[in-house]
Amino acid sequence: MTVSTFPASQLAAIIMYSALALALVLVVLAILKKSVPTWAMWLLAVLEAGLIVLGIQCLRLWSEGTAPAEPVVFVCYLIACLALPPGMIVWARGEPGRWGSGAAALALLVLAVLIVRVTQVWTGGIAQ
Amino acid sequence: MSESTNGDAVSRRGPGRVVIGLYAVFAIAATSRALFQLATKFSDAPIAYSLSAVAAVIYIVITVLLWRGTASALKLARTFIMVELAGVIIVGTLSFLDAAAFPRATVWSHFGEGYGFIPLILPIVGLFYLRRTMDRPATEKDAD
Repeated sequence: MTVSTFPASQLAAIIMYSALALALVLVVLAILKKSVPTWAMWLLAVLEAGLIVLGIQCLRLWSEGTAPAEPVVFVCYLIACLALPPGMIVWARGEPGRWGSGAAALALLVLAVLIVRVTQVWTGGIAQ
Repeated sequence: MSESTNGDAVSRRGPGRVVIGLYAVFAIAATSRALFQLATKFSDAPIAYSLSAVAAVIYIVITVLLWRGTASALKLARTFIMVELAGVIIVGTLSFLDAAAFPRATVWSHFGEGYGFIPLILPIVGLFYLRRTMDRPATEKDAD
């Protein structure tokens, strides 16, 4: 099986590190007993936009003939990535206070892991 | 969130946001993984993949019970979390002792190593959280 490099590895790295950084900030806010601030929601929206661009780039390359190593798993992970930020906004905003921030931080950590997995199942780096 | 037949269940408030969130993540992750494994390569490792499916069902049940948050649901959730804890300890130990039976990873292999050991920590957190939550009457408002 030919191993293709991930089509948007730079963008994926930016999103992953941003998610980790934002998660760290939210953990601090949770420790300080602060709710999820509105600016964090805007940052999340930016992350979601980045994820959409990432998805489009992958799908475009795919349509040109470079298929991911694990197509089904790849699509599942991509959908999970795209669904996570909006779901997280609803879940975290429903709880004012530190635990809302904690839940948001958790979701961002999951997002970071998911992005790593998305790139792995595209290149076939790690088998199931 | 605006569903409030009898208010937001106490179990969903406060730390419950994080605990239920974690269980939901594992329910989704374990279920998709198990479905994929069972559908595409069950014969590779029947024991491991069946266990993946069992773990997935346990995570789903716990997530739903914690979400419901009634006294009886939480009691039942406690039982399932104990099963989960037993599962991760037994499967974790077996995966070291009898590697041949686990040629492919499950959520619980090596005490959840592939998932940052969260599968081992999660039931312990869940039990602490339940002990704290079940002390309070389910209908009362949060006091802190």
